[in-house]
Amino acid sequence: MTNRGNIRVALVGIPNVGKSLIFNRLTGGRAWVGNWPGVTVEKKVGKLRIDESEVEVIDLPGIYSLTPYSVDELIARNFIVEERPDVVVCIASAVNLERSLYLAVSLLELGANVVLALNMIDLAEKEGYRIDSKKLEKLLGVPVVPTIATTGYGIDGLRNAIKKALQEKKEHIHIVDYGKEVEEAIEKIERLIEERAPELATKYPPRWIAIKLLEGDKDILDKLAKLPNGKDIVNQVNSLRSDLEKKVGDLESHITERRYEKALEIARAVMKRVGVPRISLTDAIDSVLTHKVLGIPFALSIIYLLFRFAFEASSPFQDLIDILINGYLHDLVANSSILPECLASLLADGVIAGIGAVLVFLPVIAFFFLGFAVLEDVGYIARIAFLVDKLFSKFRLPGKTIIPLIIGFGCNVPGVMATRTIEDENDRKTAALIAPLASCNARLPVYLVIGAAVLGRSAGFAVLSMYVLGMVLALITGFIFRRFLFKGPSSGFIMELPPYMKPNLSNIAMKTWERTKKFLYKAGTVIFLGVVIVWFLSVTGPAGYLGPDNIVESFAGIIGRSLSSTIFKPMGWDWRASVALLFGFIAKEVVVGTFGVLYGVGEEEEEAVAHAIAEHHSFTPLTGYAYMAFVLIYIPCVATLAAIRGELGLKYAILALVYEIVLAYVVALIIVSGGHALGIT
Amino acid sequence: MAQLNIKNIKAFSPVILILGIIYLVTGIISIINWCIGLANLSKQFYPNLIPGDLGFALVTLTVGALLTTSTYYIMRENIVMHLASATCGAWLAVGALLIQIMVAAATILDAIIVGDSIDYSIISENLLRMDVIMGCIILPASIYYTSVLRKMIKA
Repeated sequence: MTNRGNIRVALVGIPNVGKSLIFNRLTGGRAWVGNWPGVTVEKKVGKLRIDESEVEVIDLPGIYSLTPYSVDELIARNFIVEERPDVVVCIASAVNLERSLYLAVSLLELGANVVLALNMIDLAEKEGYRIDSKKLEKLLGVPVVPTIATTGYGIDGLRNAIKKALQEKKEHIHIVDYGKEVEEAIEKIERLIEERAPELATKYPPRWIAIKLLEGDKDILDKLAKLPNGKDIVNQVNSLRSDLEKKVGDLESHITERRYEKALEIARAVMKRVGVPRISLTDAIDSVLTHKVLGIPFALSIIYLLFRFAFEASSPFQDLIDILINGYLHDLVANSSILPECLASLLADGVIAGIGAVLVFLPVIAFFFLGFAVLEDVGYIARIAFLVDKLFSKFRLPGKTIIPLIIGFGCNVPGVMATRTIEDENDRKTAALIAPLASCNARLPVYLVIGAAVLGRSAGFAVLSMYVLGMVLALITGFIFRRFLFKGPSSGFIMELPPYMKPNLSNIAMKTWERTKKFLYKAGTVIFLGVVIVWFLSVTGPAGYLGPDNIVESFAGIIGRSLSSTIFKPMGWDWRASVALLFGFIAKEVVVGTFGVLYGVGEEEEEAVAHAIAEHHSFTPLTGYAYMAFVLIYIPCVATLAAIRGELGLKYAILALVYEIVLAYVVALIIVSGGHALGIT
Repeated sequence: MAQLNIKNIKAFSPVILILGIIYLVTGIISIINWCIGLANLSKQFYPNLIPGDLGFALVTLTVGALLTTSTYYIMRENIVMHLASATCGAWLAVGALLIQIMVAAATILDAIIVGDSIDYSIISENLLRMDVIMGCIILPASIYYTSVLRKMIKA
């Protein structure tokens, strides 16, 4: 045990190995969720009681190796190296043993006190082979506990193994033989580090540093270069590297190959065929669900059903919240005779409307995450990502980006939040920033009203084109972000398809609750603030407080007029259109409502609004179409912006705000000027 | 046992083909209804039974494609692919049925919450639809095919 006071156990494993389920089984599902310092990768910490001691269990991100290709891998490695957890539980997949053993071998080289949980042994047996855990224990030199996370089998054994490992630390650093020449070089570097950089040698196993230096690990090279004799050592290592590369070829590939060969050798030694080779249920189903022709419509159908579940099955709960907060509570405050008119309006139209706007989203979010967690637990989400991976990789995006984009067609808020399932930090940031380009349901009334008002028979096509435009822009913008802003390889190109499994109810409930809770906490504050600001602009003007029915004279009206006479002049939009865009920041549905108020035809009647727009000649077909495109792109609504802020931080929320306004303006300008050039009005 | 299953499966495959064709026709009519609705041309074909909705059309066409493709596989003696294709199609159809039942239940609950009257139109609009009717018909097939697929794989 360490002298830090608290005992820490880290859980590590390849993605989809059942790590979260084992975490829940060990900790009883009680977890504190936060972020790793400096990044927005989720950090989950729980408590495990062993005898009288309370052990902190840390769920590390799902990773394939300890070579820091992604932020997740760097986080996991730094945690194990810097924080030195007392035990590292490596959760291995019995159905994909060699891949898991590669990670286990890397952990052993790092000098970690490893306990191996051999999970999914039931599935391995179904696939016709058994793993000799005793032999595996002997070959690795660490305790091995067979587990079935879905049923809880082996969890007590794992708890005991952790307890034992806390008492007697085992190290098995020299597990891979990299060949005579490389081993000689490793020894030389080890000696060099022990003699000339002892501060590094006390912190990390010298053999591991030597291997990492030969691999050309940038993180370790940087750390070494900062030491007094560092630069000299780096030069010597580089000279050794170039000598070796003449003999064995690319050194990084050589080391990886040797490590993988070792993992494969151990896997072959412990796996025993106990039945005739046969097709697994997963293989049989996958032959259809990942089929290049049948798989895509099936995936789209599942996503459509998920939509319906989230939006339609949650509607009574939305109405209930709406009636209670926006109805009873709003009316109670608005009609209060005790409060002055201005304060009553602030509380009713600002504060309560703001809180109501957040809570009305809550059932949709919760239902969506419930459905999503089921699909994730079953193992289907990985298949959807696999299906589009080839197309998306051309835009430097992982296949998983499709999930937030498609979910975004319903509502951008869960779309942004669905990016949480993307492992790589750069991919996740890109996906969250492009998710608002998916045309959400709230934009549809705007398209329908403008289309009906000025586009006649082309309205249907125009509406469809908005969805296509959104997807095309998302892919192009994603490519630009990945190319220039979030450089680096994408994790999505390595695709591990987990076996299909029965969903675990407690796991689903926990995932749904954690994701929904985060929305409430983070989105709520910003939405509230945004709504209050817009309320203030719409009820006050240079003359002071004007009340809710005098938008024309309010600051919002003044801003709308100045926008239409300056920035929006090339587009030919009138002041009403500009004011409506301003209010669309709260929610895109508000655009139509604002038109209704400004034309004096009421907020609810879409047909009346369309008729009024046509009558006032507010748009030509060309400027109307450009307006539709602008509404599609221009700004994420306040809830989406809050979700981006919650997921990525304020800096990225501002980036989303700015780039979308600029992009919308450019696209609208291209449509209008291109149309004029072609003689279209 | 396995041989008997194969005989049963072959005997059952024309039924699967017919169900697949019904789903395909439903999907096509749904697209036509969607186009009619979009262009405001004339009356739709049985709009309650087959709503003009692209999502509905997507699901029914996918189920239809999977069920009819399964017949192609049985003609090529590929039993595993036939079973996988028919089972996935049947699961999707049952999934659509379950979601529609949930939507119907939510609509009733919604009506109670907002104080609307609960009348026959809620049931007719939400439950007298092709995805619900066909989902009920395909439900036994889905259970049968799932069990056969499991047995075939274990055998």
